[in-house]
Amino acid sequence: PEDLDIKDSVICAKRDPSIRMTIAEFVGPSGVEGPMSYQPEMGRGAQRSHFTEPLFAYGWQVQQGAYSSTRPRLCRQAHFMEVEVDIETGEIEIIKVVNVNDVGKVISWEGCEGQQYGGTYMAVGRGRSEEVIHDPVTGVMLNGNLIDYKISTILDIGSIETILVETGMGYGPYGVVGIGEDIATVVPALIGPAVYNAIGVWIDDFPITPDKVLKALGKA
Amino acid sequence: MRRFTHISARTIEEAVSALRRYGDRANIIAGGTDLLGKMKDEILPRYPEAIIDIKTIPGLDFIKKERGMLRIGALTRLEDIGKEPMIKSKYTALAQAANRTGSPHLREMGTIGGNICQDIRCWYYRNPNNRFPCLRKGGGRCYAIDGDNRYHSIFGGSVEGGCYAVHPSDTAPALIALNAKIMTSQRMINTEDFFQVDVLKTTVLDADEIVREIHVPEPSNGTRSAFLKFAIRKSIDFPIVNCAAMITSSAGKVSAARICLNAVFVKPYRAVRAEETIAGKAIDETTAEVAGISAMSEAKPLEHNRYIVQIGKTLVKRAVLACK
Repeated sequence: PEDLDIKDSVICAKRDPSIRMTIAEFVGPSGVEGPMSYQPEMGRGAQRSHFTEPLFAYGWQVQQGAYSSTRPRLCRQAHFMEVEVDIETGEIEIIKVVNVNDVGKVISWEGCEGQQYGGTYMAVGRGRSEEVIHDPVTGVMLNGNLIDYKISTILDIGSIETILVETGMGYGPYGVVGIGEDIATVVPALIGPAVYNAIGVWIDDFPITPDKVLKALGKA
Repeated sequence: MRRFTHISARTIEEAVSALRRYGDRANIIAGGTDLLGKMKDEILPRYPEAIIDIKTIPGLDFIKKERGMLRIGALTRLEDIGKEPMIKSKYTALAQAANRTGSPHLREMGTIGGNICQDIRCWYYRNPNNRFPCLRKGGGRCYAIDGDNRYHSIFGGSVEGGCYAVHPSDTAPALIALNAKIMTSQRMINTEDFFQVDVLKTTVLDADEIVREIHVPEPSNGTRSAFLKFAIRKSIDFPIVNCAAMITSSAGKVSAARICLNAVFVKPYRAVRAEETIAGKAIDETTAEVAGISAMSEAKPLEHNRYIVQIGKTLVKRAVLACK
């Protein structure tokens, strides 16, 4: 990988730029145009040529009954998180989060941004403080209330920057793609690496509460 | 909620005589931010028969300075205490503690009297419908000993095999650090002696005794106070550890220190060892660090709460440094 470079959506070898492949060609076989585009168990309505409708055109599978157990996802997104870890108390402070989502076409700015803000809060909660706790002896749930089940408050996360990209590459009308499930699913995975970058230790046990950070640091 | 009698007391004497009649079958209500939760979840073996409202007693909601003594009425809202400029400048620990309690909504309803008399938050004690009839409710055992005790006491129980639930108040350690006294309907009590662990009790108050005022003496020159709280969230949460310190320095050296932690023991914990280590010394990173370590020197953590020892050390150190 160190011998390769990417510029303007073209992958080429650094020492000889004529050895090249476009990103579309590279990604193609793993995407919708590749082996997943047709499988026998999909039944009627699933036959089509390589370069016509995508697998999931609007309402396609509903009308035709074509439904395969593998569904390619189209949520193109990138998220970034900056944290500060207090090594004396184990507190993780989220300084900044940047959400970048490709929604194909924005129909409602407030709606999409709301998903990003809300998704980030859900995600940080999942990764950092939310945990259903059961009594180890009887199995009774101990925190079935909003005081002990710690959902993040507005003071708990720093600034969130939201970026919505419109590439029109979706399969819905106007080229839309969904955004709802994206952020809250992906952002929890950022906390572990961010904490690793901060303290040099991997913590694989979520949620990463202060006691786990202190344990990883050897009670520093 | 079940049926209960509601009495709006017009005077302290009325409240006291109602309490005398009902004994422990009645509860006082001020802001109600603690009591109503207990009633709705029915955590106790017996539901209160009567609720005595003391908000209708005039003259208990005030902040006054008289002859060098700060007097705060028991019904004063935490929000008012936290925003009062005089308290913020001279009794900083108390203002910081009041501002860090609960959330803005809770501070508008919650009173300082209620805050120091509040009940424990142990999740076995507070499990709805009295699911765990524990020692503190008159039962036979403490369920936190071999249960999930991550938020429980690190300095042992109230007695051997006893209750390990911590006292959750934020203002209590600040008042102890500021050497405040509590004036009840019967007597004056040092805040340090105000707390006691017994069945369904967190204070030394008799069944017919209510808190009237809190008296905080004027800090001498060269005194600074600070309060720090550690919780999972920056609002709403009860403390995991908090620490209040009031330190008087003269000629760069500590002449008097009062350091009090809470949420680490069944009552607020005065860190006497830490006070001894910094006496006569200058406050700097090293002395503050030593103070932190000595504050935790007698810790006996349970299975799940060893991390609180480290956080306690850090908070004591930072509180001492903040009083420089």
